Amino acid sequence: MMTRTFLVALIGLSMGSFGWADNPNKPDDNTTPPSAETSVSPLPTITGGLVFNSTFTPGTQSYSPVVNPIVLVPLGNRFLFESEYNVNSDLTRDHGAWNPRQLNREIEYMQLDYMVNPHLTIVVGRVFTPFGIYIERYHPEWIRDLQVAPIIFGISHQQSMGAELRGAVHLNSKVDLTYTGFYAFNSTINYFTGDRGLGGRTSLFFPEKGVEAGFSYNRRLGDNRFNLYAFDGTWNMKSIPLDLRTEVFKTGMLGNGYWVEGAYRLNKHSHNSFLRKSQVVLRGEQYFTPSAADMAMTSMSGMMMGDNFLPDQNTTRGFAGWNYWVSDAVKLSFAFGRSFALGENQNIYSLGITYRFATGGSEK
Amino acid sequence: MKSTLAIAFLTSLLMAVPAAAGNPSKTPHSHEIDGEAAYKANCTRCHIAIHTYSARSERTMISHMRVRANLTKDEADAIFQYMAGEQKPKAAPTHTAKGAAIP
Ligand code: HEC
Repeated sequence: MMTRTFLVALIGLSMGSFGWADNPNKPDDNTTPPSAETSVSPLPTITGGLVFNSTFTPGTQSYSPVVNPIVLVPLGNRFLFESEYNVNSDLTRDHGAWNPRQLNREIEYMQLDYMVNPHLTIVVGRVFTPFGIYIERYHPEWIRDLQVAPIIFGISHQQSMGAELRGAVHLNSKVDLTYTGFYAFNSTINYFTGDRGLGGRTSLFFPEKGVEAGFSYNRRLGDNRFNLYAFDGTWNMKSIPLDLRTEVFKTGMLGNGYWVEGAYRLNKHSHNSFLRKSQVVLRGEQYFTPSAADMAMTSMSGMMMGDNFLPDQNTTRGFAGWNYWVSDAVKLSFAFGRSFALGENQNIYSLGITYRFATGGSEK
Repeated sequence: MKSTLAIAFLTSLLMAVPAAAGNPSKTPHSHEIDGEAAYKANCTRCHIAIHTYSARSERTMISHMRVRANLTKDEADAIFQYMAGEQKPKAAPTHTAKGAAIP
């Protein structure tokens, strides 16, 4: 029932947007500022990150080099092919002995974007399943503030094969509404696997205040059928260099959880260049395993979700981190965390270096 | 409870279209968008430091960000003009979230 309602909503939305494109009264593309659009044609570009991360917990050290190139191929002004690959290795030493080396290769996404009109883009291919903010915004290590992802990223780190309708509208001069709706089919093709599902995310964004509040809904229609809900909030403060972010997930058989993160740039406080290039980060998070009733409905055991493992016990974790930009492309990150779970309290140290690269030359 | 949430979500999605379509005047034209303000309000939400590239690569990257960050075309165009055009800030090669260049 809900599935059908959602489909109807998506179709309605897309028809609305198409109709809109045809509306002669709308300024749309005609208002393109003269020079930018016409004189500069977009160039295929390769970007991405190189990462070396290490995490230390008592008895275990793990080192993970990661390369994730992104290929961007514009096809005229309205189409963009974009794809991100991830090659990483997990070198883990457990109580003095190395585990077998693993090399993981993954297509994070491979999609064709068609910018239908100023407010609507249709995307087809392998996409990040739109759910919350972490997956789309902070999956690259060079962007995120703490190298260790929140526990509930184990729920949202997921890709789908299908189509998305996404975009934004200015509700008025102070508020934007953004939307991303998707429908995915079941796929078992190697590197392009995905479950049937649908849903999306919508948010209200107040640009002047730097505040965004979003809500996501997913219905998974694979072997297990269930609903997932997420709330996300971000506040990029204007008066002080503080960014606050949070995500709250309620996902039934995958458990519930949240994280809250604050990142503070020290640039306002000092002329000392070391401090000016530094940022301190704090994160608190909790994860609650599914209830017995929810567990009974699932055929999953151990809850392996892609590369991400969800703990089998309620877990509370806190991190304090520090980032230092050696240059605008190179970031050093250090963090200390402590995780609390029944009988398994432990310290976590993480040390990482990320390098962000891009072809396209530097414009200085 | 669950269906109420879903309905709220759908309604907000559906509201988007008529709300904006019925008020074309409320959708600012691109020339009304201040590139610098749009840049500051949008790009620095997710990035601390944004390097600038050649204009042609930047066009591609800003299209990429238009899709990734759910920006409208007029915002993306205004930001492109700000970053690649005459309005480009002369002082710092790197724009940063809170004003100071890194490094
Ligand atoms: C909603 C968060 C978000 C916003 C807002 C955002 N970006 Fe990004 N940006 C990302 C992510 C995530 C990536 C990594 C690429 C990916 O995941 O596809 C990225 C990548 C980039 C890159 C590397 C090249 C590329 O295209 O991948 C540049 C340059 C960039 N962004 C500039 C900008 C500019 C300029 C703006 C303002 C128009 C902006 N970003 C707004 C999240 C964001």
